[in-house]
Amino acid sequence: MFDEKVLQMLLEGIRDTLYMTFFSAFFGYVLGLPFGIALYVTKKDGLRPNKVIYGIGDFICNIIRSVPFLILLIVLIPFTRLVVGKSYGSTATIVPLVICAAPYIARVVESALNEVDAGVIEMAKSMGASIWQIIFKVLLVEARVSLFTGATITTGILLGYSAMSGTVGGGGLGDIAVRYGYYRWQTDIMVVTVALLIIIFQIIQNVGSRIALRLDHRKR
Amino acid sequence: MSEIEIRNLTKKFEVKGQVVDALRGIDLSIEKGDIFGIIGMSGAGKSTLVRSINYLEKPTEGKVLIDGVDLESLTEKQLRKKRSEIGMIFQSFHLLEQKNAMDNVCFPLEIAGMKKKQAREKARKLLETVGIGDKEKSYPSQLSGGQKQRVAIARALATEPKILLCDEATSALDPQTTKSILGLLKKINEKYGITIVIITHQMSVVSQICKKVAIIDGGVLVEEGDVEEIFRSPKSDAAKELIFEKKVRYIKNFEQPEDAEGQVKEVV
Repeated sequence: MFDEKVLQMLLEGIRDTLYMTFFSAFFGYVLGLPFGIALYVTKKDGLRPNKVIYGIGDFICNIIRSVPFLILLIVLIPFTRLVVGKSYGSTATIVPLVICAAPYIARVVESALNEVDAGVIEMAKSMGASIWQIIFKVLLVEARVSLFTGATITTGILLGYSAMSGTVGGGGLGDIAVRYGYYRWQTDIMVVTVALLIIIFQIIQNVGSRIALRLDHRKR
Repeated sequence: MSEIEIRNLTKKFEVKGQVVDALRGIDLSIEKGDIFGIIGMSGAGKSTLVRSINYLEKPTEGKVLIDGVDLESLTEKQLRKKRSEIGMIFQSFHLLEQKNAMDNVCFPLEIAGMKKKQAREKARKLLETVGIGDKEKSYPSQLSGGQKQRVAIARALATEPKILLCDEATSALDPQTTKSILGLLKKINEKYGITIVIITHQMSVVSQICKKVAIIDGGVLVEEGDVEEIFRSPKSDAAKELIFEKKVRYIKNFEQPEDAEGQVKEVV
C-alpha cells in the first residue's frame, strides 16, 4: 500500500522515536533518581531531614512540572544548542525531554521509596547501617518493584512527549503523523503512525509489567 | 559495672505542640548473661525504652551506658559500630521482603564489610543453629511467622553481638510458636552467653524465660526484681494487674475465639 520511500520513512520514524524515548528515559533517571532520593532523605521524618534542601527541591520539581512541555521545549532552545550543538532533530529533542522528565521521575522515585516499610529501615539502623547503606542496600532493593513500575510508566509518557516534540522538528513517528496526516491530509499515513505508536506503547508496558512481576518476591 | 546501665532516663516527645513524657527517670541495670524482661501495658513506654538502649531513640535526659561507655559520647560512626554489637529483633520481623533467608542473614555482615563468600558460610551455620537450615533459599513470603522470626534471630546473631534486644518478638506468634522461639532464645543465651532484653506485654513470656523483670507503667519503672519473687508477691498495681490479667486472658481465649486472632495454623 505504501511505496518504498514511505516505508523507509516510517522505519526511520520508529528508530527516532525509540531513540528519543529510551535515551531521554535513561538520562531522565540519571538526573531524576538522585533527585528523588534526595527528596526522600531530606523530607520531614526522613533519614536526614533538611527543610531548606527539601523546600528547594520540592519547589524546582513543581515549577518544572507546571510548565507546559511545548513552552519548556522552546524556552530551552538556547540551552539545548549549548548541550548538543543544535536545536532541532532527535538528539536535540532529548534535552528538553530529560529536563521535563527528571522532576517527574524524582516524584515517582520519592513515592516508591515512601512505600518501604519504616520498620525495615529501623532494622537497618539497629544493625549499624549508614545512610548510604540504607539507600543502596535497603531502599533501592526493597522498592525495586515500585521503581520499575514507575520507570515503565515514565517511559510510556516519554513516548507520548517525544511524539509531541516531533511537531517542532524533533523527528520520529509523531513528526510524521503531524506532517503527513495533518498538514497533507494523508490519513492512511497518519493512521499507520498512530497504530505504530500504540504497538510500541503496548510492548513497553507489557515488557515492563512482566519484568516487575518477575522481580517481586513478596507474593508467591 | 553492669553490661547495660540506664541512668535517670527521660524521654519527651512533642505531639501536636504538646510535650508528652514517654519515660521518666528510669534507672535500670542489666547484668551480663541475663535474660531480662521489661513488661508493661501498651503505651507504657517499653518500646521507647528498648530503643534507647541502642540509641535509636536519643534520651531527652539521662544516660545509657553499654559496658561503661556512655552512648552520648560516641560519634555517629562509633555509634553505628556499637549498634552492630547489639542485635535486635522485632514484633513484625522486619525482614527484607525481596531477599531470601540467606541474604537476609548476610545483610548485617555485608554492612560490616565482610566478604560475600565468608558471609554466606556464616549465615548458613546460623540458619542451622536456629533450626531452618533447609530454608536458606526461601523468601519471607514463603515462611511462617515462626520461621520468619528464626531468620530474624539468625540475622541478629550474625555480627556476634553481646546483647540481643527483643521488641515484642513473640507478640505476633501463637502460643506454641512463642514457646519454641523462647526456647531458642534461651538456648542462644546459654550457648553464647548473650545478654537478652525482652520487651513484652505478656506475663507468660516473662515467666517462661526471664530471670529478672522490670515493670513499666505510665513511663515510670514501678517494680523490679526476680521473676519468681514478683510472681509470688507483686507489690505495684501494674504488676498485680499483669499477673492477674494473664489468668483472665487465659480463660478468655477458650471462650472467645476472636481473641485467638492471628493464631492461624502455624507449624514450626
